[in-house]
Amino acid sequence: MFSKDNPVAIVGVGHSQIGRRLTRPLGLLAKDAVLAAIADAGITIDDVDGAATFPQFPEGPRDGTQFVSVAWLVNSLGFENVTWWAETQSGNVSTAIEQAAHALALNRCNYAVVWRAMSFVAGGSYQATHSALEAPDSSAFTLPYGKSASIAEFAPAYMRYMKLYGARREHLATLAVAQRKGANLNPNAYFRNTPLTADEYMNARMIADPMCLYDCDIPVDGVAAIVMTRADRAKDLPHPPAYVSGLGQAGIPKGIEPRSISGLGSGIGPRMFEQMQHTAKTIGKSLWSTSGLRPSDVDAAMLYDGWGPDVYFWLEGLGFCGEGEAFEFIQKGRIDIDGEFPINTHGGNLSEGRLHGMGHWVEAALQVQGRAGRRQIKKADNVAVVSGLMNLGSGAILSKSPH
Amino acid sequence: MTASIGKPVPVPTEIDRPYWDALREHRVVLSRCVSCGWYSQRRKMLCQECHGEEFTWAEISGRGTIYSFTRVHQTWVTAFQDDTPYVLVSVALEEQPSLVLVTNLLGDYDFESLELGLPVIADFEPRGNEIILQFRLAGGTDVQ
Ligand SMILES: [Zn+2]
Repeated sequence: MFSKDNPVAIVGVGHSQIGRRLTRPLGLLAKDAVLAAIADAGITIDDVDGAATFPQFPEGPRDGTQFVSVAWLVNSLGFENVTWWAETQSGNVSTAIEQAAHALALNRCNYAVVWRAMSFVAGGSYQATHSALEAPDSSAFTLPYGKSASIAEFAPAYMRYMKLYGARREHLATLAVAQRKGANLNPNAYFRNTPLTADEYMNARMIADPMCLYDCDIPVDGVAAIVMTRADRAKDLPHPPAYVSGLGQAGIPKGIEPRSISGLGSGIGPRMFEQMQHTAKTIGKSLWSTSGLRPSDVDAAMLYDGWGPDVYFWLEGLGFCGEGEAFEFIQKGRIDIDGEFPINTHGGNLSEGRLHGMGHWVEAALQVQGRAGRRQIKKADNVAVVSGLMNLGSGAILSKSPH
Repeated sequence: MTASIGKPVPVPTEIDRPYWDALREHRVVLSRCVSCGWYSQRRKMLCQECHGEEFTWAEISGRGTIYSFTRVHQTWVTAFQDDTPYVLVSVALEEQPSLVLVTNLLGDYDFESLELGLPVIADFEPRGNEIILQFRLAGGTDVQ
């Protein structure tokens, strides 16, 4: 396993309130989540000597209200003992978590806190509105066609998937409904009190065929945080550790236009289908080689769902089923909380809210620790968690025992 | 997709100029590596296939097949708000199928009948002082 001699583990988690247009500023939501995670881990702010986040997106540039940098948080909360910190420049908070795991394994710090602070943008949509009648530079190849938003790249990827393998919309309804059931059991979830039926899914308004409203994640204000340490220190803490037994980062495919999160939809790159396959496959390759585990050893998975169909790409690329099989794999109750392979039991981005993957990491830890309450799955010895997609992001296998 | 007034107009960079000049003559030219023949829509700094640094502009057939497509119901491009729903098509080019270009799909067709692999052919739509590349289904379907 990764860092065999003194394994790294997640030992505490914390959430802020999650909502839309919250009046509490983002920096204070970050304070709430980070202090909650520290208290949950049973340590004090003086113990914190590592800090990391992915601070960019969805908007800037005001530190503390539109994003929360390491400097802002460490300074504001008075963490005086930080010896290691990182802000990942591209991708997803998962890569910040991966870097924290490496820093802990190298004894560069002892207790690292990692958070993701997401603001609900004023206009209600992450997508920039393009009103200009001039389309300069690379936008000359997109805006004249009415191509702008990221869904204009993900919807064709999902369309290709459906056409190649024979998947239909009702297959993906299963995922949206299963995740909503999890959210209904998650007191932190944005949709904690709102059920969703397959009929509602099938009748939802279309955004870009074949993606409907419920295939899109729900933007929120909210922050989630985790505390990580090593086994030697974890044994003295209040909760059982969720060991990081495997780690992996997305590779970069040759010959496909590189995507950045801010450039989504504005560039040319139409081969998102292959890019997502490549991301899931490369993360998977490292997960299995670093953990020594196989997909059949894993009991559940928290798979990033910026869009519902992302989950198909993860399931196939990570090796939980074969290519073109995911849409059937998720049927017949398999992915429900009491199913044989639960997925996104907290509700995911679709129903807990778009914490940009951090919610997935918190849930994976809680399940492995046996602390998921009414969402607790029967067996959680090894749980996979991945967040990102395109050519970015990282994942881990969290495990009950160090293998 | 007939009205071009009020739609975003391409403002080509100098380096892309040959692509846009050719479209004005209803020809499709792409950047092509001199040493190995690899195509790209825009000129690259280096060729990913052979690391060559010399490129030329070469005309292609304009033929390709549908790689994927979508129909946009909610748009973030203001000038297209009255056009929803409209179709975006990703086209794998005959000369190099790994090169996929995105345009609208012109002509009369039933959206539900679109499939991957259907043959398409380049078409040309005036837009401001430029002409933009478009595609339409090849063979048998109505051309507007
Ligand atoms: Zn070349």
